[in-house]
Amino acid sequence: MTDPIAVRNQVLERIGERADAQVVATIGPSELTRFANSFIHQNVGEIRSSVVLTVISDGRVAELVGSSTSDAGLARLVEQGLELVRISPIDADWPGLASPAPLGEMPGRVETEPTPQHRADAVKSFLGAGPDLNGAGFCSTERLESAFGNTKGLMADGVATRTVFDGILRTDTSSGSAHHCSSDFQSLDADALGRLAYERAILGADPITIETGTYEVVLGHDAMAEVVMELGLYGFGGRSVVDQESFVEPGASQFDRAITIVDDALAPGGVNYAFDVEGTPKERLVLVDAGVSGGPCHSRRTGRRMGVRSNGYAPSGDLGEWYGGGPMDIMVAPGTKTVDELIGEVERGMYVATFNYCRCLEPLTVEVTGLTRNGTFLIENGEIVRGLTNMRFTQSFVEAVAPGNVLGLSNDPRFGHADAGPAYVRAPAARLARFNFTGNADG
Amino acid sequence: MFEISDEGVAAALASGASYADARVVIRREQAVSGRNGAIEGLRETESAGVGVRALVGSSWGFFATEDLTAVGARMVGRQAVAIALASSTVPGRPLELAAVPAVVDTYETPHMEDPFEVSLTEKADLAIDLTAAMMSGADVTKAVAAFMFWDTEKWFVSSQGSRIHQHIVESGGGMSAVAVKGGESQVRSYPQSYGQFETGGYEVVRDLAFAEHTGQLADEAAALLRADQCPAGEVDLILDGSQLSLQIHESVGHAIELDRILGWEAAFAGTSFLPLEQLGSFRYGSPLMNITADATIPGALGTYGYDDEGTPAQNVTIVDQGVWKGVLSGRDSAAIAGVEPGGMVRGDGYARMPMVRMTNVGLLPGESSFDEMVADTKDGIYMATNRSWSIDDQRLNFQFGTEIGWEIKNGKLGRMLRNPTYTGITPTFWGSLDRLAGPDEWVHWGTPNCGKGQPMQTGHTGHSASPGRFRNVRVGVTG
Repeated sequence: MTDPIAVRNQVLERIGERADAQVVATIGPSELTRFANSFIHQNVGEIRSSVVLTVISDGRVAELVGSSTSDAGLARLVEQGLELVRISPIDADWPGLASPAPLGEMPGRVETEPTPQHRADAVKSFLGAGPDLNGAGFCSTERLESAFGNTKGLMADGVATRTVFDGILRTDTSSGSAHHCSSDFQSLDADALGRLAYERAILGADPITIETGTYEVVLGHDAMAEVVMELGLYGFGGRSVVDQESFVEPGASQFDRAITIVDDALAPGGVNYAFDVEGTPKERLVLVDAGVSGGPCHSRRTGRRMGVRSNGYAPSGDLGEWYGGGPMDIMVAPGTKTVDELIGEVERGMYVATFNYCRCLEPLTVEVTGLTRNGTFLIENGEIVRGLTNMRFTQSFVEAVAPGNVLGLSNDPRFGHADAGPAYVRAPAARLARFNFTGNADG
Repeated sequence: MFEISDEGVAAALASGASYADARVVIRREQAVSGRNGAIEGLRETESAGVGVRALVGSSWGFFATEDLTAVGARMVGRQAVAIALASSTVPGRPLELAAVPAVVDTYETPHMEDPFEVSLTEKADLAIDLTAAMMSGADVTKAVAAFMFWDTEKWFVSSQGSRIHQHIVESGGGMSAVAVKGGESQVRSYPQSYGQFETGGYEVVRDLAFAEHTGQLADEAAALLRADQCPAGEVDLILDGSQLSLQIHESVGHAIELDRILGWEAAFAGTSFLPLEQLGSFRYGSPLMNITADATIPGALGTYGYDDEGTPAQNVTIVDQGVWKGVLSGRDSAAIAGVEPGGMVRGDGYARMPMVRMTNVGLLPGESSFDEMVADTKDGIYMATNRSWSIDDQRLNFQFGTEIGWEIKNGKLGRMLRNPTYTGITPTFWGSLDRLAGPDEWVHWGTPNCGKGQPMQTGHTGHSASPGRFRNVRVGVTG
């Protein structure tokens, strides 16, 4: 079966009156073309199919996930669910099923389906911008249709289309990267990405190592996306709040006034669904308003614990499960300057294109360690003067964007490729007053 | 199920592949988690489908579907070739595969107690009881326990004549107590952060004796809130076996992956600092450093019969007395590098293309002991249980945090230390290894959450280690 709505309906019909239930069926093509050493070496695809069934009976709750969408497979899933819930323990914290509610209009989705040849051509364009360098990366496209339903009559469905390009070009001593994420393959300009990666790689050749310490920085879109993503996961997720592990104090001025952040799945250009895995319509949520903390994000379960309603942030996917839900459609309001203007205002500091392998040391301060990658540059007197070897930082991200620390934001926010993925944060570049680097190529 | 795999391979060959293989994989997962004395989640996942890998010229094509019929398998075989053909737009040199013998065989994980036959009630009660016990501790604000079980069956067929059926059973779990006070959180975990996992049945969980450790976790998490901050400086560092296992995973296991060394993972996971031309001579660490990649260790998480290319599991020397001797490889990468294929290629379920993966990459034990190491240390720190990990894209510059530490002064463990961290450069760090505990303290640690590849795949890897001492290590790095 290739229609998730039909799958959903069949599952609910099979459940009938025997139990309460909710189901999410997701089906669609997901393909990825991978290249390294400047040729395509791995080219993969699948018809992705997932049916997530939650069965509730007499206070007991069980969740099953299956990949089969055949009649027999769905029948087996339902019977397994009914059997599993019978022997499950009581879930005293179960918040109940969501009631029917109007669903917001999802951003426009694209009906064109890129082929392997389309992706290969994009790879060729990217590599063409730096034919003398070593290129690596991937181009992926997917079109996943998802349908939710529960036995209280709440139904929702939508299509998410996503194109991601991630590429690097390398010299013997440096590398430069460029990233793209959008709902529309047509908006992918692989040649422009290649030129950006090439420029960074050439500019960063023969890097020097500088001493550790605190520097003024201009973080590129991808590095800034990492900062915001970590703040979102550790600060604004409902589970963090319930666990008393969130730094967020709603109503307090915890961020610089330049910082405004909203989470909005319905914003134009979005690549995710308009409802969460509990069927709750996602709401536009102000996380930070001119430096003042808002939020947090709640699922039905965390909302119940805090005595508030869900605003559509039940955890989904590995990332969501890991952190217990949180913002996944984050938008940082732009500033007024170009990236070059931000760099031009720095007397001595660094430009950092991307971060890599970031890990949180302390959730209550969001102290994170990680490294710079694919474009680290020394800025002197308002100009990039040369490339730097990668640096290790250990820095509280709360402090990094605290009042007085944000000296400027660029006027061109875009999807930034954070460690968690390419499709969660739309961020501008940012000029920050202080950033703490604790390691370099020497140790 | 072999018939389904046969159809996929035949369709790929008929469409122009020079080589093809197919895997039907049926995987069942069960996860039971408790939180603060209540059940948090109970989930069963079953994925079943077929994936076909087809080699055309310089590129692999791979396609997968959950449609386990002959029609579905043939579609997948044709599509794998069509995708590979598109790769010729940006071609490389034709890819060769290192020779392996065709095998017809079966393999099953030895296990005593089928984890899926143990009642959910028993597992849930354990999670509830453990977290309730930890919550009774002063200052404990959160207690979690989680158990996971995997039952995986694979039917592998290759165009070169291999037909292999495998049944892999994996079990394990872990628990943590968290204490929060004064804008700081502290955590203690058992057996290690994220738990301990092995190949085997429910006996793995029983043998870990979780209930005996709840009080210690609660007490230590609370005590850490009042402990002194780990001082900054250079000291002798003793790592417990579980932290050393992650050190091995990050600074050795990934660095020796041949696909990384060849640049195939450059844009995402990264490359490796190891120069292939110095395989056999590069000084990786001190003479105490002896690393093997052994996929045959009974009970270890990275143990199996055959990899997902049909190559038999084997024990490969990686580092011999500090000298780099071996790599983790597959048939394609081994052919390029001119090494024997190591049988180290695995895929995450039916829908992911197999790739080079760690097996059981472990540090062979030494002749010392933890107590001897402490007694022999004048000024040092003992760190235990990983809390954070970060390493650069060449696997050189790393920084780890552990949950807990203790000062060592004049041969004795002293005050408890909170927020311990240490940092270093891989060969320098391993070169400073000067003492290693012996076989009695050697544990086959399991890591069930190794991310690699695009699309992302989660791998299960093993890392044997005993406690070890490293000299003059930079500790106490803070923001």
